[in-house]
Amino acid sequence: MGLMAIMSVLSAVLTGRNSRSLSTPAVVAGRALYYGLLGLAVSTLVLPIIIVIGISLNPTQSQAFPPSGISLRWYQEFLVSPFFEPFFFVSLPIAIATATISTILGILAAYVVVRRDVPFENEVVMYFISPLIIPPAIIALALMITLNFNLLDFVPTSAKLVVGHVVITIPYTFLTAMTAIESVDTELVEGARNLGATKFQAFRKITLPLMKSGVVSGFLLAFILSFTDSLVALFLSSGSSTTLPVEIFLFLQYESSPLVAATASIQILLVLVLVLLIGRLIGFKAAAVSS
Amino acid sequence: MLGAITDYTGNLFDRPNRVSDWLDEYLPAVPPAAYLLIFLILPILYAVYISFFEYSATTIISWNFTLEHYEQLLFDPFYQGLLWYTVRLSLIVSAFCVILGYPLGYFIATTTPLRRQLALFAVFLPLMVGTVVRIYGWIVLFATNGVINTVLQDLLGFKLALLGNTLSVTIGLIGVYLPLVVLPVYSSIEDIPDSLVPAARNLGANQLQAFYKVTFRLSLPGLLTGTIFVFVLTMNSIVTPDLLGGRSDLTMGRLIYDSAVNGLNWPFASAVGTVLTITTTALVYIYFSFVRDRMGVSEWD
Repeated sequence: MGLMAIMSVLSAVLTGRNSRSLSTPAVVAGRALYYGLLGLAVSTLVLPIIIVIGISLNPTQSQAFPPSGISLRWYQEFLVSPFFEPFFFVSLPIAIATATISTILGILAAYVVVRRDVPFENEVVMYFISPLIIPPAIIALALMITLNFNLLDFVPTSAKLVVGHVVITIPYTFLTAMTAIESVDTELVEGARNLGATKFQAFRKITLPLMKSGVVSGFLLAFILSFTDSLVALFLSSGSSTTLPVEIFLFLQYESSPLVAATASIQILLVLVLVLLIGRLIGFKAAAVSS
Repeated sequence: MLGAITDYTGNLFDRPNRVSDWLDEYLPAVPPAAYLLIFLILPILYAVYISFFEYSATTIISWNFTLEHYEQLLFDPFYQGLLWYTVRLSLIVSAFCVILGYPLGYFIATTTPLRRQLALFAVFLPLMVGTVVRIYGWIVLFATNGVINTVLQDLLGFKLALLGNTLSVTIGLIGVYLPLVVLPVYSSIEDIPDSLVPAARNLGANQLQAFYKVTFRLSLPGLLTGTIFVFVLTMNSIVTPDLLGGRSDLTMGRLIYDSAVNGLNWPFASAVGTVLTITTTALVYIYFSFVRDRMGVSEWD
């Protein structure tokens, strides 16, 4: 039945029949296919997340879904688990440092691209978003063989992780800052300059406050990307400086338990709050398109 | 043409030509530009450079020129198979991301504002939550005693080996990279003027023809961007095939990780990275020119 309907849709397309509207079964089949694919797409995206949160609520060691009861036991276990330290003392400080440095570098680059007459502007923009175009596995490998050079042994692993995360987050802070600076009226800046402000003063007193939501969004995006990154961290992590996603990755190679689910759920909740915040600040559309 | 020349010369005269002027104009961009040069461009060039030297178990790199890594990668049937597996996997994942991602992008662009917000959230959150967390969800779903198998056992009395094969890797990768097709497709469909589809309908096209000739054609740039991103990232994927795949689901990305991190054979890992990048770029270029020429959309470059 369904197959026949699909065939009739296809034949309508292939023969290019010029009727002004399609026959009813074709339309019904088209709709069914469309909504079927929609449902499949949304569940592919959302299902794993719902399952992780569901598993984390299990009161026992079992990873049943739906959970056999509702308990926060594994969230308490998290506080004394081997995941606690990577979460609060590795991933969190690295993400904050990354977001701070990346935001500053992103604003500087975006300011020049938007406000100054840059020759080869497209190429310059490409340069600053190149970490988005070069595959992360290649970036991670290149950084690993460069930063693990003997002469750099004195540099702590966490600093190397920040260096790597700043590289992969610059495109995001750069693009959000570009949009933010473009939205600031140049006449306001010129007004300040005419009243005697230096370029830097005009930037600090006029442009920066007006682009605040863009800057905060870029910061949050960089924070999230650093916190959840598993690829660059996989190559650069070592010993006590292992980030949370890598810790989970290594754990999952041998076993899995509701404890992992609880840890993952805490990460999901953190990201959820920050994503909602970004949505409030610049809207999902802007955030989604810039990524 | 003449306009373009005068524009250019005009800019040339306006442009600062002394070093101090130049610095005054562009100084703020120097730190970020230098940062990417030092920590991205130079490391990548260094990686390509060391791929031409021998591996040594004691010093990792011994500075004797060699092409052995490339010979091995290009002529050893094992590595040829691995590259082919990676390419095939990436093509399949990209195709499914189009099939699933296009309708969702279309839906987001054409639905009511409230549903659009919800759907965008449902696409954006998974993208941000991180690969490992989502893969963990699939592991619990597919495991021997996982969610699906428990249901199967209860209802039909048997279990399936769902985890550790190419199918689970494919599903996992589709889930991870689907947003990268949905978002650009949504963005390019939203940019199409609202009057075009009704105009095509007035001129006698049926719904499907109007969709194909207007909406689909004009959304091709978004679809192209999305599929290229999915293809490139799948070619380079490491974490998903590692966690969801079996021993035979070895991708080029996993080979890089294994030889660089576990084997400490940096020259070989770099050679793998180089071969992988060249192959990926070549395939993306072929795909890009194919779509551009076949679809007759030559104005975007």
